[in-house]
Amino acid sequence: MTDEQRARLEDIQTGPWRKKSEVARQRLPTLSTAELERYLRSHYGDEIKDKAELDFRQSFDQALEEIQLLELAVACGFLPMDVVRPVIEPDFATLLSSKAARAYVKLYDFVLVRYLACRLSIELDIGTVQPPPINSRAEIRYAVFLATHYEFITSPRIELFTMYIDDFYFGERPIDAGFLKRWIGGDQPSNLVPDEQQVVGNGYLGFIQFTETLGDFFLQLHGPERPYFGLAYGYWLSHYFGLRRPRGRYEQLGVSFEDVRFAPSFLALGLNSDGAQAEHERFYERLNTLKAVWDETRELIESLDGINSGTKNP
Amino acid sequence: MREFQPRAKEKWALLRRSDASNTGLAMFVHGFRGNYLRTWGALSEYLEQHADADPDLGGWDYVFIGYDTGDVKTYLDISALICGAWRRAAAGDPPYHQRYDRLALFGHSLGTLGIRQALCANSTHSADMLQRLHSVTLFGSPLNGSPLAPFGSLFYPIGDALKPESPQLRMLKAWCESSLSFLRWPKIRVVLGQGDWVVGQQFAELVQWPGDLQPTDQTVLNHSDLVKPENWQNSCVMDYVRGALR
Repeated sequence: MTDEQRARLEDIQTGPWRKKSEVARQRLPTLSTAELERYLRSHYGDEIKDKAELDFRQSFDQALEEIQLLELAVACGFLPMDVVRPVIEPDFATLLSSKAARAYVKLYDFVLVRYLACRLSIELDIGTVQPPPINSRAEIRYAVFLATHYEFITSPRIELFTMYIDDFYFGERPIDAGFLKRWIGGDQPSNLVPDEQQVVGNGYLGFIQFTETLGDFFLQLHGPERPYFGLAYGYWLSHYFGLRRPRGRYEQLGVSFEDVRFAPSFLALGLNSDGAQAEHERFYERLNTLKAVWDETRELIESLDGINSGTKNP
Repeated sequence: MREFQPRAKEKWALLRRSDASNTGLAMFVHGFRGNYLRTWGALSEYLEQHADADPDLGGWDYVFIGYDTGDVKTYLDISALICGAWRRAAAGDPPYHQRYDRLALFGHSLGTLGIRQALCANSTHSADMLQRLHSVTLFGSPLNGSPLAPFGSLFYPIGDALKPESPQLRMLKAWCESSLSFLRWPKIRVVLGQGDWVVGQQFAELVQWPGDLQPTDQTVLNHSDLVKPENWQNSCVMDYVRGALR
């Protein structure tokens, strides 16, 4: 391994997701099969309320995320397989040896994990996938992705917004994704207490950052690499557009931000109407890019299950 | 042949020539809520693929430096990153592999104010920074702040410094003017976008910064696209980069 490869690997292995994955890494080997099945069950129809379960699942997601980042690194020629293999094979053995963990990978569409398993000839018994060929000339694109991903993961406001679209709610009102969307559109109750104003204001900023950060990145991608990078954000993009996948096909079960409208007070701030309009269009160009990438990503995900996503959900 | 040295955690990336020892370093500094690589679109990729064959660009290495907008409170914080990066580069200290003796600065939006600050904060200069300065190019520079800044300042301390006619901005302009009486740096090329409503271009005729080339260069692009080349050959961003490194 060269010094440069070591530095690149370390950048991935010591990212913020590593610390967040420690709970799962430590607890996983101690859990019985029954406990694992309970902790990693589908939350559709069986809501996860227990804090220990929630913490474990969120931490496990981060461990899987690191595997996804390594798959993208290999596929883009950012790191060669012979560098990644010795560090990732033990992770597969620790994290994904159980049936429950593998089912979780399939249920929550960690497709990139499946791709890397396939490259390593590790059989997960959750169906076959065909990873794309390695593009050894895409290392800079991966670096741009990783730079973006660091920003995405470390932004507390994006994290707050992802809680909104992941069906969390705040306070007793309650303040949820629907409330946030209406608030952005100008339906702003005058009696919000300071804590509520803060959670809504930061949620709004998280929404803007989510859209601009990912939209800006995806605008630079072309062709088949768009859904491929889209897989890294598949869960959040589906939720951004209000989609959930309790069974085979995505269903419109949540609030979609696709048709969000801004109260005039937001975008006209300090701008004349031409300026507000131009900024409006710039934002929607990014939002529409997210939608296009999501549509392609969804098609890819559903194709793995033999589902034709050509028809619209009821 | 180019070697790419990205450091995501440090928000820094170097694209250097590995088959020759370039002595020119082009430094790119992003703006408000930008990103050290993403802000510049496909620029780093284009440079990797084509710079070696380009007579204007082959002799330069490229460094992209970044910061977290939330951590920046004054232009001085960005200036310190620029001056620190040059200090190490000029000395050939790690992470650089050789000594550099020419510097070209490129900034976008807030990053342009960090560059202006770096030029006049001479107590932080080292390694003859100004004497080694080949060119300065500022894209989407907030000549009179940004009309959007009042909203940004609700969430970021540096937002205050971007408000039109903000005290920090006025102080920086006066500082630049004073510094130019005893410091010398190349004429600054300012590139504005007629579609840029974030910082606007309407102030260009009224608000002139000392040491800038007049009149400013104008494009039809918006604030974000102003620094993202569409392609290698037919892109005004690449034209300005080439011109600055010639």
